[in-house]
Amino acid sequence: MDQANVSVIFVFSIVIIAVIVSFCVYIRKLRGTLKAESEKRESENNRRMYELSILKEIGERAGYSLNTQRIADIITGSLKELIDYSTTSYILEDTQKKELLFKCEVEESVSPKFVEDVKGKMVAALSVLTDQNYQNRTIEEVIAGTILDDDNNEPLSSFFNIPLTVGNKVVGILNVSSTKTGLYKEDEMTILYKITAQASNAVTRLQDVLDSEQSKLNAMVVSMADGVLMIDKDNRVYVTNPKVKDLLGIENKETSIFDIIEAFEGKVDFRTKLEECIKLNRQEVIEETYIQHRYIRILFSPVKDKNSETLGAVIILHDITHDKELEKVKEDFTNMMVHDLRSPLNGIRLISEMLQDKKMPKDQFLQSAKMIHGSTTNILELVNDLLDVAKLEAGKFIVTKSKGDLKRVIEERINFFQSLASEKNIVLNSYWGPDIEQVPFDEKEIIQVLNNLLSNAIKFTEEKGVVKVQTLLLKKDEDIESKAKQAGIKWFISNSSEVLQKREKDVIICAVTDNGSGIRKDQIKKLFNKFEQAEGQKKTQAKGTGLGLVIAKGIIEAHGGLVSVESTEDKGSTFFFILPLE
Amino acid sequence: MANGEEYKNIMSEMIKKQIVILGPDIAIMKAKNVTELAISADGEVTEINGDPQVALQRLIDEYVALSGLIVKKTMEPLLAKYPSVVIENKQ
Amino acid sequence: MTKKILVIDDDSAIQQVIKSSLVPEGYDVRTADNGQAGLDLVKEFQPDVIMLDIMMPVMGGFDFLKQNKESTIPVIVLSSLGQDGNEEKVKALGVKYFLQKDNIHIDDIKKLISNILNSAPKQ
Repeated sequence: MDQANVSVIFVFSIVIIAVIVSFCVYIRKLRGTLKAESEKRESENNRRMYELSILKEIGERAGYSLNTQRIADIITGSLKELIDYSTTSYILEDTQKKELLFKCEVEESVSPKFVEDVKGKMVAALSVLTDQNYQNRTIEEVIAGTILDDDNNEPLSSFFNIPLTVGNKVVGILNVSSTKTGLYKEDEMTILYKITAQASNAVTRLQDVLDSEQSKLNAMVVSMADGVLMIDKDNRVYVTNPKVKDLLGIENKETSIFDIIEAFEGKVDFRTKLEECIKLNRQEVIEETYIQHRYIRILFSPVKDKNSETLGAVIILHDITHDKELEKVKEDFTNMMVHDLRSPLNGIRLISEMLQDKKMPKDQFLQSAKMIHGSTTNILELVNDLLDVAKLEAGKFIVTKSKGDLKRVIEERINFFQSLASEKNIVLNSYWGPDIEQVPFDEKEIIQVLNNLLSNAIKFTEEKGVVKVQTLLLKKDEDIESKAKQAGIKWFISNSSEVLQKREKDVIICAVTDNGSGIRKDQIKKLFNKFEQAEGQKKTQAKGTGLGLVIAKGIIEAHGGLVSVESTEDKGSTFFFILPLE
Repeated sequence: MANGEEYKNIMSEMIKKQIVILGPDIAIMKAKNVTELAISADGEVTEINGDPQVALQRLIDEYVALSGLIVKKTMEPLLAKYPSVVIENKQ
Repeated sequence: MTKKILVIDDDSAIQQVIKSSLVPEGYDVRTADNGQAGLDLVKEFQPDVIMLDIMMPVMGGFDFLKQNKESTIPVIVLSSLGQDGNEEKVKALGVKYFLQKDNIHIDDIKKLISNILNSAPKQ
């Protein structure tokens, strides 16, 4: 072998070594990059895990309470795991009270000036964000963690702020600060922004859901007939409907708990009842209180969430004025009935006493007997009327119809009432229409109806007046005004009478017309009402139970007919009833 | 059509605002991500290399990615100040 | 001199009873069915004692008393059970004497009238 070969081999080896070496270097570099990459990926994964765990914690802890403060606490509280800092803080604005809350968590000891600087930077940021001046606002400060050190001179060197927004409205700001310069990397900071943004989104979405539920609830409540109030644990009114304002006479647009309590001032202890309701967890009632010219019943009911935590109370204001009026009307009626029963009984008692008096002259006996007779008749009438009304109301009033001669019955009644009529010089007669056939009716009951109508007519007609009983056949499609005209009848019934418009078959119409003082339109509906009496009735001299018309109405309706009255003030009235012909 | 000066000014002002809102480090860091821009140490835009409109949009996008649409609100007074400057209205 | 008694009550039995018990005692008794008729009779008849019911149609006892305020004629109010509130109101209008209709006896009426007339200042 000669030297040439050796040098070739040598060079060749060097080349190979060089290739190998460079290959090795390349590999190493590659591994380095890969390592860096995998480290990056790992820290990326770490961050992602961190992000998820934060969001999970927020979700769990915040629950349904949209307490921005809790969210701020959770985020700032968890930062230790991710980054290095001297302090972490937040400022929140309480929109209701317009106050600011500054909370600073000190991790590494710093000077009080440091904290002041942090606060200053945050307030400045908030000012720019919301375009407002916070100079004169009170700021409540809470500083926690490591004790501040006056001698520590390290200044605020690096920091960043994260705005907190709910639904596009700025509610506060978070801050991370350190004495060290250039500490924060873009990636780390960005992650925190992302987390905060996601938390805000979640809160906003939740707020939207709550708002939507709230407005649904409000829509329901607004339309309720009772006043409804919902009060939360902090005595804030969070649902109210227009009826509350109406019942309590509140004019402010926004009803506050103070408006409510003021409205009840001096009448009932609203506040105490509310407290009792919530504290003792039971319903409370104020049976009756008089406010704004109305009687109101107030019901307090505690409200709990699904964990049995007290959320507040629901208060319902129920207008019982009408019920009370009804109660009073019934009471008056009862008193009147009792009085009407007692008086004649008392009369009988006194007269009997008198009869036992030896000094009583004999000619008084007859008089006394008449009085007793009169009183007992009164009582009997009243008792019978009351029984009839009771039967009618219970639906147990029985009417036995049979085809009979209505004309004869009417004429008999006219005869019966002639003497009463002539006492006042009243003319009493009847008209019987053509082609009226046999009418099915209960004679006894119809007599009672006619008695009532006739005695009323005579009672309410002046001296020398006229009372007529007019009977007509009215076929289904005939109109009453032309029929009456044809028959030459004068009365107050017109085509517009509702009762006539309602009829479905051929009927017989029987009317009692007088030319007395007539009845005012608004008094008419009281006539047939058991509890009310029209004004005119009160002014009569003669006694009557006032139940006569009520009973008459019941009797006719039991026949399948209808009763009504038409009247012109100062001219007269026509009381009439229609009976079906089948 | 606004000139490059105006774009420089509006972007500088924007960065200044974000320095107060977010803090100097992050505000400038994000501004530097916009390659068309040369940023000084205190957040001034010294040069625009390329389409100024594109640069402005990118700058806005950087900040929106961080703190959301609230950024657009803070932009409004600036846009009013430079009426000839136009941005896309992506809601 | 014959003493005159005016009875204002819509109950004819009461009117009759009082009349029948007082007339034999020598009183002159007139009756009215309601407050309005009563007022008219006060002017015309000028009674020495008035016996007055509260519940009457047209014009009741209260309105009568209000309209009759000026008069010094003693009034006996005839009250019924269950109208306790009325006593207070009526006393406020100056009435001193009451008779409970449901519990009363003829002798009580006679005694009360004679007491009132005896204690009244002679005119």
